[in-house]
Amino acid sequence: MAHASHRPGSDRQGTHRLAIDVGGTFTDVVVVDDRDGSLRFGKVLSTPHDPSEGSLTGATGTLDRHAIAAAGVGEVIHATTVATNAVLERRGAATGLITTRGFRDTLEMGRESRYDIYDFGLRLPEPLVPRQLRVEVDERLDHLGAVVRPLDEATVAAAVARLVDGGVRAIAISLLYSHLNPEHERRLLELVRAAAPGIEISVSHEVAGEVREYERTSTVVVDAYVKPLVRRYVERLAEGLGQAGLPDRPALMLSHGGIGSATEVVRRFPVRMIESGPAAGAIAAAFFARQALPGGDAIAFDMGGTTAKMSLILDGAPSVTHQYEVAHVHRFKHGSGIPLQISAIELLEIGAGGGSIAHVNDLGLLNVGPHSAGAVPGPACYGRGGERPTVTDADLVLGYLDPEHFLGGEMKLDVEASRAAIDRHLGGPLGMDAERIAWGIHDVVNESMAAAVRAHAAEKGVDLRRFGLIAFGGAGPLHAEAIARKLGVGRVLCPFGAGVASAIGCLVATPAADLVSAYTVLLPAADWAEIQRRFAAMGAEAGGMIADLVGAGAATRLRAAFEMRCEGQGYSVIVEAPEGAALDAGLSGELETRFAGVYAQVYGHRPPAGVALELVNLRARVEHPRPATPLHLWRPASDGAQALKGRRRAWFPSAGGYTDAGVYDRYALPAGTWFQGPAIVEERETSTVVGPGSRFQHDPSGHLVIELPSAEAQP
Amino acid sequence: MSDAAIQTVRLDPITVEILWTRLISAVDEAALALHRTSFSTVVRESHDYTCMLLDPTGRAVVQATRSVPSFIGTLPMSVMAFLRKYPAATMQPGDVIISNDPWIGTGHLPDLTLAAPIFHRGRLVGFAGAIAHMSDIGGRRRSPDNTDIYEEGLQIPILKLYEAGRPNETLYEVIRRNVRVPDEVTGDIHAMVGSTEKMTQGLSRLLDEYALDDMEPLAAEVIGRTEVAMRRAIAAVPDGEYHTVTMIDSFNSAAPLRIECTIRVADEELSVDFSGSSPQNPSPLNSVLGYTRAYSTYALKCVLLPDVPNNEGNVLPIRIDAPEGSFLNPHYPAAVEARATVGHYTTSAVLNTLALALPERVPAESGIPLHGFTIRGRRKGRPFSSIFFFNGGQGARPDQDGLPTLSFPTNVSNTPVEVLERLLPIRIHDKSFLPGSGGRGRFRGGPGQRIEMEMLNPEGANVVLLSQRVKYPPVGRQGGENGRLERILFNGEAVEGERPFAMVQGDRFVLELPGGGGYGPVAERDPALIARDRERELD
Repeated sequence: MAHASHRPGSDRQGTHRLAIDVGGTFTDVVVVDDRDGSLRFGKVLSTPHDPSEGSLTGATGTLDRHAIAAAGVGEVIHATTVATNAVLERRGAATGLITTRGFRDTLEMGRESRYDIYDFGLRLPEPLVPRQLRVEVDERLDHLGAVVRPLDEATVAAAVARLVDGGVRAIAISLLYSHLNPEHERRLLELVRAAAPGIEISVSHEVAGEVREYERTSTVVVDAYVKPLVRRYVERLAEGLGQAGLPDRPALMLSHGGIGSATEVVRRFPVRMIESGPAAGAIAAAFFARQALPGGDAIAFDMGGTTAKMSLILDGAPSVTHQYEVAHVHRFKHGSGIPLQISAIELLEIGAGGGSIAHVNDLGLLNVGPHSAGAVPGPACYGRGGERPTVTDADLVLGYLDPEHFLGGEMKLDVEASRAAIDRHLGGPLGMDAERIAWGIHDVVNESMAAAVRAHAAEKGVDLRRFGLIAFGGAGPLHAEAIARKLGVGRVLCPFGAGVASAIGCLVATPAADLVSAYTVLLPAADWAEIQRRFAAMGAEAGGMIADLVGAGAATRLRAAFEMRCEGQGYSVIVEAPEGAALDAGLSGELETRFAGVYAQVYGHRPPAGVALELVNLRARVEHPRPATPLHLWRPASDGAQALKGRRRAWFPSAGGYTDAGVYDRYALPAGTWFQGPAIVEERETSTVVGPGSRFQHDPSGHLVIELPSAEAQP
Repeated sequence: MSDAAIQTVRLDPITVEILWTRLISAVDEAALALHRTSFSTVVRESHDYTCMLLDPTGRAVVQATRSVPSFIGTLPMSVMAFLRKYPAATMQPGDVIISNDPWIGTGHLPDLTLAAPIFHRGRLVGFAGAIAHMSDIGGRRRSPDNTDIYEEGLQIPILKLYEAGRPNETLYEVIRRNVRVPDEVTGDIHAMVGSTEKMTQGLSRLLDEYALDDMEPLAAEVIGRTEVAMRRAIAAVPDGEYHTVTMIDSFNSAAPLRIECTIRVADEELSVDFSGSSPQNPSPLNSVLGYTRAYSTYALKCVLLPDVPNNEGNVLPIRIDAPEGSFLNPHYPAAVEARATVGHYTTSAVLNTLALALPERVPAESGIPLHGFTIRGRRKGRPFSSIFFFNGGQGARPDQDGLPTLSFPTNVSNTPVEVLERLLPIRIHDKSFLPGSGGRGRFRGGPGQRIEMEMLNPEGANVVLLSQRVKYPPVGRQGGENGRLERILFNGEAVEGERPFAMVQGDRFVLELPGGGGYGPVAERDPALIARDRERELD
């Protein structure tokens, strides 16, 4: 993608920035005018055969419609599922793997444990590299990185020849202890490059330079597997953007929630963009939490047609993990996916959404999911041949959806079909009437969402009662308030722009690059000159990774963190050094204190007394924080005269069944005035349900805020 | 509490589902907190713990979702024993009862069992129970030479650890003085007490919210519906008496242990009888009845009712007996610490027998047991000691090949080689699938693995294999072939693992772990699968 005329985005004198988020069904475009923070929106159908096509038509169409000149756009930021889909659908390149002699099966042995102990039919993900394309070379390092057996270049030639004969288009290299001493991997890279020109190569110490050979190998394999496809995609997109007069060096949203230069990401480690879209959504949720929730602690809850995704926002930032899994083969269950050693925003996913089918199980109890009616045939009320009762059918029977105004009136819903489906499939076995069962379906799906959130919070050791719940997705606002009641959460936020949250996340994200350096030593024995040298090297390298976005001379910030543990323990925590602190022996005491604090937060008690502390990894993050963007999502109406557009019957358990609820037009709802539930607030893509006893208002940014009755008063 | 909410109190099938989900959620929350705050590596990394809500008579109502099978059904037995010593009428809020008696608990001393009575509106409404494996319990740890339980560590009889909220300082002092890491063990006990408090709060909140006086109507629904489902599943098993013999190599293949397993199925009830099994032995290879029952029930549940959460209803139609004085039901004071090494075979024995009744539903035998290694020695004057595990292949399933190298019936992850070599002075030269080790058949058993390790320590070290399988292979099913036997090579020479090996620097150990058995006749194997295995160099 050599374009002689390109200029780094930051040098380009743009008044606007443009974000493109490619989803499964729609591609969303949001343009911000940085002079006043105003936003313009666009939406087109995604083009799965070549997602860059939808991206480009979406971008140019939105600019045309709002009469914004392409030349005025200074930056394009992109979120895409292209990498994750390649893994999910197994459309990546034929990939080979080169390992240390004796370890070609590490990739397939995994952890040797089961994610479900009762399931004899247990399935695990098929390895991305089949056994015949996993080859070994003679070499060995020890646990300190010292050479035990030099790299035997004759065995390399044989290994590479075998892979080339096998027709691979990409090669992953993963040698034992390469995170401690990359020399053998580097030499291997040179040899492979010379012997197999034109083949993409990924090397484990660059992609995931951390201990644990299975996870590191798995990560570098995914990287190699998606690399050719991602490279072609980014090149096409960049070329198209250039031809349209837009910046031809787009930024990409990465799994860790920062943005990086597309060119650099593709060249170095495309695996880092694997959860680009959901990460962008979580970044938007964090932005909304900072805007609208005191304390900035929130549960981001995105419920769509087939799945729901949740993430925790702590102090205004999404919770990040360093052990991620993608492409689960069993109901999003941890352990059934492919592990990745990357920093990624932690997402909790469960297989329930509006299309989930309700049924009576072998115990005679009402269950929802895991089967979904999808878009076709869809819920019974769609009248497209779906006969089984779904969550959407229940929401319709309960009066939460308006049969005449679904999707802004584009689609009429058939309440009687919903009721009939519930009666036919569930009424008999349960012996209850359709309305009560409809509430049951709504309540059962909410309970399972709440259970997932509670378990996640328990693992993290956080108390949810001080949290808010931020609802996204077509079904999120329909269920959010009821779930909040179950969790004891006092405040629900339905942000404006929830339908294009991931695109908004792109606009508010920070250019950032992460690197890790394995450095395992007892803290008192740490060589601080060496630590300084490593942070300086990582800082320079990471800085280079975002230079494209921020300009070479920009003042970036290095955040140094130390992964630490008690000596002998297998689990570690990450301790951030104070900002700007000198990285020398004087830091030891501060690290010990901070370690104790983080340890207590994570594990609920102080570390055992008298145990020595050990460093495991050094983690550097280079960021270029931008001035807080004053996005004006929307300006609420000035008075509420037109807000109440009618009343209808809606079912609430605390009212004993159907009760009269106010129906409000979200676009006419003024800021700062409280309204009382029970109510339904309607907008084009969704409706928000507010139960009796709760109140709601628009805040000045246009977010719908629901306050639940205090815990004592709750039913 | 509004009147409207009270109307929902009737336990219709929807309310039962909601309340049951909520109870499981409350117990899982407590269990995850216990997991998170535990010092014990076994708890953290192998999920060797559980939490449970029981009714006032000690029946299991809800168990934490994620725990190893060792604990199925043991807490009810413990709480019933607690109640015999401290009758319900004498219990007070704030009591916590403790014991590690293997015979009323999980079968060895490192597991502590705790239970706290739950009071709601002044009445005893249930118990919150927790079990966790401690970092240490004193005694000679994992020694094959132990001949009775006195050598295995501190025994804690049924005692009150807290009485009406007041800690039993005497007991705490005794425990602290008898374990090698007192702060960590005390910390683990506190974490367990915390988990019982969490369960108590969770249950009380739920009872308040739904205006229930006690858990009994819900417990009755949960247990009753599960029992009905289990009875229905048993009714689908052809009536009759089924019998198999399963042999265990034990430490010494010249003196193998024998499991005789008879399953009787009559209508909706099923019994497992281990009469005829070997007598108890003067080594830690003894499995108390509770442990024998746990792994037998586990096997039955996997085949008959895998999807229903654990509770008393699963076991009501099932009876499991082993003769007193056998190694599956030893008398006090037998040594029992290595119960897993033999107890895991009860899963095999039950599956082997059940396969006679349900040949289309039971997979072939897996390459169990858990192949454990202990290494101890001194390095530069400092002692080191560690245990780690490798796994054989999974038995072929009735509809697909077995998975390679998979933990079964327990669930212990392997230790990364890059971690292992840092902890111990050894080098792993090879850790690969063992082609051809899975039994052939319509579906092939999962391959076992080959591990080659070298001793690096100039001072050498002692190595003990905690198990072996050199004589009795994992059996195939329905005409499928057996998995390959284990082979142990010490400096190239085939040996058995009954003795500790004194390794000196440069010595090499090779372990070839068994693959799973095959399923169905070899002749019926899909040629495409044969070609795939050949291409992958797995045949």
